[in-house]
Amino acid sequence: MWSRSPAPQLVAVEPSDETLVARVRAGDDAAFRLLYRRHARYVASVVVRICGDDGELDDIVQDTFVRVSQRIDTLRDPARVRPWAVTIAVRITTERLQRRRKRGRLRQAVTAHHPQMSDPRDRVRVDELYAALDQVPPKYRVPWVLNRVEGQGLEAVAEACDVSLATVKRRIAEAQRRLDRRLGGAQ
Amino acid sequence: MTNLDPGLDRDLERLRSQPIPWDDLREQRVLARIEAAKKAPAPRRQRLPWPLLAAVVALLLGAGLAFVTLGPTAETVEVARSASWSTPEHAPTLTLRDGSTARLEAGADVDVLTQVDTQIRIAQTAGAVRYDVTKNPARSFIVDADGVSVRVLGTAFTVSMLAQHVAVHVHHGRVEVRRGDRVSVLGLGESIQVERGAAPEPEPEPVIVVEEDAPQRPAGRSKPKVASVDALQARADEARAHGQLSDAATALRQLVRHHRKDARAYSAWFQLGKVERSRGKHAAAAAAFEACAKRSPSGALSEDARAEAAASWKAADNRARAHAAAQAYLRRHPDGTHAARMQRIVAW
Repeated sequence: MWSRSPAPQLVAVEPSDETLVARVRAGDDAAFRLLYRRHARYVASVVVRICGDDGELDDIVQDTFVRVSQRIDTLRDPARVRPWAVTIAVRITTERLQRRRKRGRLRQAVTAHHPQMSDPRDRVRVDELYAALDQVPPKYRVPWVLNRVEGQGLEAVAEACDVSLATVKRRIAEAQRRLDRRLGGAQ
Repeated sequence: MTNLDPGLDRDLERLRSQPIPWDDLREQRVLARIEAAKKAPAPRRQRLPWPLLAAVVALLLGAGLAFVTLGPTAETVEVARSASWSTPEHAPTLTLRDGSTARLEAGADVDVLTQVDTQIRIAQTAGAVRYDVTKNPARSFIVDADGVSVRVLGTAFTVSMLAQHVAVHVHHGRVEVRRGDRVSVLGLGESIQVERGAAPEPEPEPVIVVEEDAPQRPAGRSKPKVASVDALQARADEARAHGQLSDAATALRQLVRHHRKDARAYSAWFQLGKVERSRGKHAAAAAAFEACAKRSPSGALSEDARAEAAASWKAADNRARAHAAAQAYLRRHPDGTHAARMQRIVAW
């Protein structure tokens, strides 16, 4: 039995990551922009959480997506373009954190770059945490932030950091140990 | 991997509650940088041998010393595409690519905004400048002077920035002087004085470069040091974050004006469009979006910029410009993301 239904409407269908990756590989710039718009915010959030400020955020996101564009042919599973981009971003961020430490610029952040917080006391506590994190080498700091702050599972952290699961567990534990020492245990 | 320290857990909660400083403007800006980086050739890292480096430094120092000692000798400056020129002491002549010239009097300050086959557009912010324009019906020649737009119809004329007015005197030929919706055509030997400052919206001939929010600099003084792109961008971001849209617009206008060759000026135009629209200046927003698209027609933001320009003209209640902008979009992007929206504007 036929029933009367509303007039059909054209509904925009978002292309999948696999489709977009295939289009990017074929040289479709518009597909690359879509891919960027879909994942840039998440990549930016990971970078900000790791760094604690957004002083180098634009540069890191830019470098990440330039590399995504250059190396997209090497991506084995197009459905996993987001974790792959995060892996690239984490690597770039780690390199930058290591350069900061070498230059002795442990906190490059400028106050104005800090995100606004409703309670300034929160900012103070977060600053203290990042001041402690600045004393932790990036190879321990990055997996700790991804796991403890970003809430990523250990497998995802291992993938992002390009190390084994055992190594990532050991590094997170080491970061925690150093942070506890810096922050004096219970606060 | 659990942590037994409740203080640290609270800190982590605070950390997670922080907003991510990433909005659509920042997203667009970084995208523009990515597009530019993708097009740029890969940088080659080379180390200069020390003797060669020392020789280069010595040469540069020598050249700098010679410049300081002798000063610039050429009185005629050929402008490749765009330039800023401030002349506290001497009066050079800018030669434009079509052979037209602009002779600057002491203290004059001009920026060549556009120099293409179909249009030359100059912003004059201070002093007096005599323009001798070659005749070319296929090319428009426009001087923007603090809200007053002078469109050349094949002529020689002088624009003088006075305290309260812009004075235009025609030596030969004809010019069209426009402020907002008021227009006057001047002929041989005629002069006019027009009140300075942007006309109220809607603006048929939008002024897209004049720093309407910046304090006017007295003629005759040297140009103050211009802030860097990063500083201006940071100032604009900070102002936007605090809702100070006027300050944001000022910073962005300074960026696009003083750093027009920098790749970031492209996204700054786009940001300026959004800021102007946010503060209800729809014609200015439309002009900024059009400037964005014009600066890099195939750029990452340009499709959006064309659509936003049309929408802003509509918001400014300028039907003719809205139709033209929407049709321009549809010609270039017949299957574009905003095609349906542009069709609605065309039907408006």
